[in-house]
Amino acid sequence: MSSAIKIENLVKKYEGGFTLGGINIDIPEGIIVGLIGENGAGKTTLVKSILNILKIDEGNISIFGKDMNSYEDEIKEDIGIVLDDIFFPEVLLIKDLDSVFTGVYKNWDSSLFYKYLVDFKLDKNSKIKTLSKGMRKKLEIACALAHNPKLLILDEPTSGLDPIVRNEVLDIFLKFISDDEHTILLSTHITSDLEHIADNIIFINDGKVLLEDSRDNILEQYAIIKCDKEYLNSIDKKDIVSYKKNKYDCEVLIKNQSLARKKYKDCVIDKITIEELMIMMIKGER
Amino acid sequence: MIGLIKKDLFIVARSLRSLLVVIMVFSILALDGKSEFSFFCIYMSIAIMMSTFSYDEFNKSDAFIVALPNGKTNAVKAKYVATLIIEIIVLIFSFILSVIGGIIGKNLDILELVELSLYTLSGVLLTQAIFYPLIYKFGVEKGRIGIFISIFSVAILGNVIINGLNFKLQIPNNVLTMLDVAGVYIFPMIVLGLLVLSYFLSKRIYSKKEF
Repeated sequence: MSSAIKIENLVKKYEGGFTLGGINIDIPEGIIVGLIGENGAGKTTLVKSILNILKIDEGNISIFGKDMNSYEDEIKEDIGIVLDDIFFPEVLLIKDLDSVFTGVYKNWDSSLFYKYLVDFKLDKNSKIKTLSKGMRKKLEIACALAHNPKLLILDEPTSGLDPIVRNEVLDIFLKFISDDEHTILLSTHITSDLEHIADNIIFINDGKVLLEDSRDNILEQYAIIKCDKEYLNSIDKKDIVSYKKNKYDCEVLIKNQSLARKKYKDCVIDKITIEELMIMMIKGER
Repeated sequence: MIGLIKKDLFIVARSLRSLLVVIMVFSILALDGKSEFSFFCIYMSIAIMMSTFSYDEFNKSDAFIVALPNGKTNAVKAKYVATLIIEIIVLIFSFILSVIGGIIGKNLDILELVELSLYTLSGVLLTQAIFYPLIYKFGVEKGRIGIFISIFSVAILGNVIINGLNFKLQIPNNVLTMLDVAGVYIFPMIVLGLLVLSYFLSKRIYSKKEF
């Protein structure tokens, strides 16, 4: 399977001190990759670096096997984007966007755009600024999809959407991905969305990739042992990824669930959610 | 680039709705034959084009534009082309209204109108040629402060130099007339040249920016 996005040794330094450092990621075609991490972890910096909105200090980025710096405009014809809180001026009408994007993308499909407007119940004569946050997000998604891209890069695409619309949007993403050539990189805080649709998860913390694996592997391997504080001392340190001491008990993140179930039979071992994994890896002690 | 030009033209069109009453009042006033109406139109167009920068900045549109195909190379070009289009439309509009006003007021002087229009257009484009690199460098808010500081500095400095040195220029009347006639046609050419320089400067500033 060829790479949709390949990042090698990416370094992006900010004057304030934050550094996105030594990022190596290989995203194959045909999958949905969820990018997670707390606020300020570097998710948006990574997305902006991939899109060349930010200038990287070191490293290489190639998309569809082509170097981003050499083939930027050609590559971007095949990328649909939704960026967090970044869009065209809200004084424009929705129908203006059709005309604007016709002059931007060679493959812009007006009929597909208007189909999405109908599906999302968006009035083409509305001003962008009159839309609710959820409606605006749907408009941005319609714009990202209406030029038939091969790759979607989405930064918080479902924030502000109610559960029903979010479900509709996730269905659209799943439909988009049903073609093996299509790929989605989705940065989000709503980790439950990723449990439904993501094939792979990339977890970024403090500018570094902390974890990159398939969703199934993560959910099968990692687990949480719930035990009292005395029992914590009896757990083999090699098995512990991190732990959290609560008022009355402890939660211990372990990586090898099947082994732990054999070794620690007299305590509760719970399956983990991506959100719990994120909290344990960031907030847990080591 | 066409898409980005359209984006600015749509912003202007949507903004004009809120200024419709003001435009209508001034259009009616123009019908008394006072050709100064063109000043109002064309200087209002500076404010409207500035508002396209404000909208872009408020919605962080530059980050979005840079992420689009050819966005990085065309963003600045589209802004300058949109500016030229808007200024020419406004110039034609104000010229037509001034002609109608001149016919009604029976004081129509086409040559004077053409000269005035060319001077006004040149003045506006010169202003924009200075403004745009400042806006791209410092943003709309800080750029505005820079614009006012630069205008006042030039005005005060000019005043100080002329008064301080007590210049008394003795230029013959026929030379003044020649300069006046030549200026009508030479001044716009100089301004166009400065606008091209301004474009390259803005492009350079924009290419170094991160959004």
